[in-house]
Amino acid sequence: MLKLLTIIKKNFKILIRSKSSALIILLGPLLLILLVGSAFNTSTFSDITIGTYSGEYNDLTNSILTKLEDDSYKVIRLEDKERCIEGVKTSNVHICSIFPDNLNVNANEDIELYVDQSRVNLVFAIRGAITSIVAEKSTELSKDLTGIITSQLSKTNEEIKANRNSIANIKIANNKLRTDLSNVEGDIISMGVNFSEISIISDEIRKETLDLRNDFNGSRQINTIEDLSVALKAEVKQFEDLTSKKSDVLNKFSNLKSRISDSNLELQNIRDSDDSIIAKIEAIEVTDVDSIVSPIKTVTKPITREESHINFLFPTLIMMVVMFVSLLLSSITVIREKISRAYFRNYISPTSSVTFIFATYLTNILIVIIQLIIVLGVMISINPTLASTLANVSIALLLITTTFILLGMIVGYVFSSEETSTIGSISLGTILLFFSNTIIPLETLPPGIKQITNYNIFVVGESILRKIILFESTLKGISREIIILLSYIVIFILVITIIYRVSSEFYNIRKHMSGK
Amino acid sequence: MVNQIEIKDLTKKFGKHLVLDNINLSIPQQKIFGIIGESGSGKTTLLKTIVGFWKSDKGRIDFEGRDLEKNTKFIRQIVGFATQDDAVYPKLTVEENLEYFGSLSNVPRGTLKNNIEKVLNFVELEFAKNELAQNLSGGMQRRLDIACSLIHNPRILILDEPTEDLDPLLRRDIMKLIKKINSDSTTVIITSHLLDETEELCDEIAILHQGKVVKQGSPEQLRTSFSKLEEIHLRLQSRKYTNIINKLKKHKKKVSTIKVESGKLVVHAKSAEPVLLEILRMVDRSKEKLIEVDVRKASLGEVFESVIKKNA
Repeated sequence: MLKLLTIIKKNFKILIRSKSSALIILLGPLLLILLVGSAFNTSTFSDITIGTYSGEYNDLTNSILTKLEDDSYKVIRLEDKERCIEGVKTSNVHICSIFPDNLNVNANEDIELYVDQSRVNLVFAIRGAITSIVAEKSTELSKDLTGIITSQLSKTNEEIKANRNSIANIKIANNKLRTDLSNVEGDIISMGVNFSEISIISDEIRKETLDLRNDFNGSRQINTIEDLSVALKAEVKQFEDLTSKKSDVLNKFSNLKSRISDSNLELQNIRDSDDSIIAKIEAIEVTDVDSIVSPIKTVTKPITREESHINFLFPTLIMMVVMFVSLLLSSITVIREKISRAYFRNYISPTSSVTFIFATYLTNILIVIIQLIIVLGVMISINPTLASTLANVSIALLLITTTFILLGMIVGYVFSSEETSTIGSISLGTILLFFSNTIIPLETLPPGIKQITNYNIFVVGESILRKIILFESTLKGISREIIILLSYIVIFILVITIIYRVSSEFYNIRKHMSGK
Repeated sequence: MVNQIEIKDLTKKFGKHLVLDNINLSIPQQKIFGIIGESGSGKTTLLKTIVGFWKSDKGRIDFEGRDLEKNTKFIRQIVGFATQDDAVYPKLTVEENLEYFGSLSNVPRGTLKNNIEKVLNFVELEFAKNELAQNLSGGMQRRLDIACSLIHNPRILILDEPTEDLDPLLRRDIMKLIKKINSDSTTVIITSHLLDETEELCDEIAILHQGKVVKQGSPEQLRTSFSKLEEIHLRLQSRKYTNIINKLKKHKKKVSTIKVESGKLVVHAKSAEPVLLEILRMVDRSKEKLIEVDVRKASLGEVFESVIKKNA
């Protein structure tokens, strides 16, 4: 124990007396938290410039742009499309939106958004904001249009209903007409128009007249009777025509009745169709315009109470501080000890290597803990509600820091100069940072790589802190991540115990062979 | 004479490079034991293998009858080691360095303060105890390094090239210090390629060549066994030896070699007396002022050269 304290005391003295190291390692993270704290303690984007171009701005375009300006975006109207796109390339504008000339909802035209995909997070944020404003306006217009359609539909329904009654009345009138026609037909049929007896009589008269002529040739009376007989014949002919016409009339009556029946059938069909249309219109359950335009509504609600970016940044920020400080500090401590001229004297002293390894770990963790106390203090002063999660955060940080310190120690043992070790630590930290959600969303990575990144210490640590700080998760809720970190710690301890002796032997053999 | 360290058949390779080849050495207790050899002969490797820093490929090392492999902790407790690199922390003060290494060497807290004072007094660094090691002069750093090796009162002190890179005055100081340490019943093992000082300092010497011990014995034994020549050392106030050298060159049968070394004329001859008389006559005639004159057997340097040539 005494040896352990002596080694830790020595490490601290060496670190503090090396001014540049002390400045970078001890003050660096504090400076970082101060800068990030003041920079991100806001809930909005600031100074986001949106370039726009349209051949002809109209009320619709202007209303979208006004909404964007109301949301604190700076809108610049550019003279042509190329200049607008060029603006994104030269970073004069963050996004370029090209509106169709006289933007019209009927024209089914697209609003083009030009973005710099290399600034993916910013692009997603601004594009999301613009899309939501445009969608809001689009919904507004959809509501108006749908309102017109539904009101027209309603009117049509009323009119069809009114027509349905008229059809019924026409049908009744038709039926009455048909009945009247039947009655008239009956009357006509009942009229006696059989003139055959008259014709026979007329023929008899004519025959008798002819006989009389033969008997009384040249008698003036006979001629008169013949004239009367001819006149009667003509009258009979007229009666015969009447009979024929009565038959025609009856045929026409029959035809008329049949057409009225057909008409009634058609009217019945129309009525049935009207009934079907009315039933269908009345069967429409959703008639509210809002519900038709947006049948499914999504409302984004925050799952935390946080109101500024800094609170969301806490997990990432702490992770960055912990990762870089732990990796750099531990690798530098190890490599300095390894290349130190005093290393030999340490080695041949009656002190076990485990004591040195443990002392190195304790030195580093103490320094990181001191820094974390300051960092957490700053964070709690910004957001006092974080104090409630402090116990769980401390346990999580102890595990995370231990993992990174052990990893940094491995880096220190692997490399053989302070420069290469520092580059190694920074590179390792950058790789871990790059394959995390900090730079690009992990979901954009291929599935295989994404699967691996789930075990990235930075991702695991950030997930733990996010769950604790933002969602107030218990330790049970982060048990999976804790198991992963504990596994890393066990593996790293095994690696260090193996590598400690091998690494120093390699280093000293190389040093010996090079004659230094 | 009791041997404190016994090295038997010690072999060490770095990869395919054989550095120590079947070394056998006996290091006596409470003596100053010197190991000399050319650069790359394996001196430092031998010392570091003795303390277990390098693992030997073959052989056995016993300290006071205990096998190094099985008693590493005990052996590290009784051994102090000062390297040629000043194995101290430059960012710690003299006192902090001693405190740190004392603690690592299991010196009880109660006696550590006393030990520090004693050691600082011993190496004459009391005045600088609060100075950072990096601010000390070369000689002071070397003394601090030796002090760190002594903080736990080791029975054996190993010094690897302790006078390396030091000026003659500092070198003399260190040599005095080594003698002082030895007089305190501490066995000292020292390596050096400066043969004069080794000869002057050591009770016993081993010559290491290409990883092998080619000769071991007292300086006198080595000189006697390897050279029949006598050596005349002469120093004049003017340090001008041209006339003497020119005249001596005429007596080729009497004189073997003539050279000027560190401001002194060094002459090797089968019989020193007639040559010395001749030189003294020359000095008298030239009215030169004689500062120093000495006659001795062949130096360790000559022995060393001879051994190396023989084993080349």
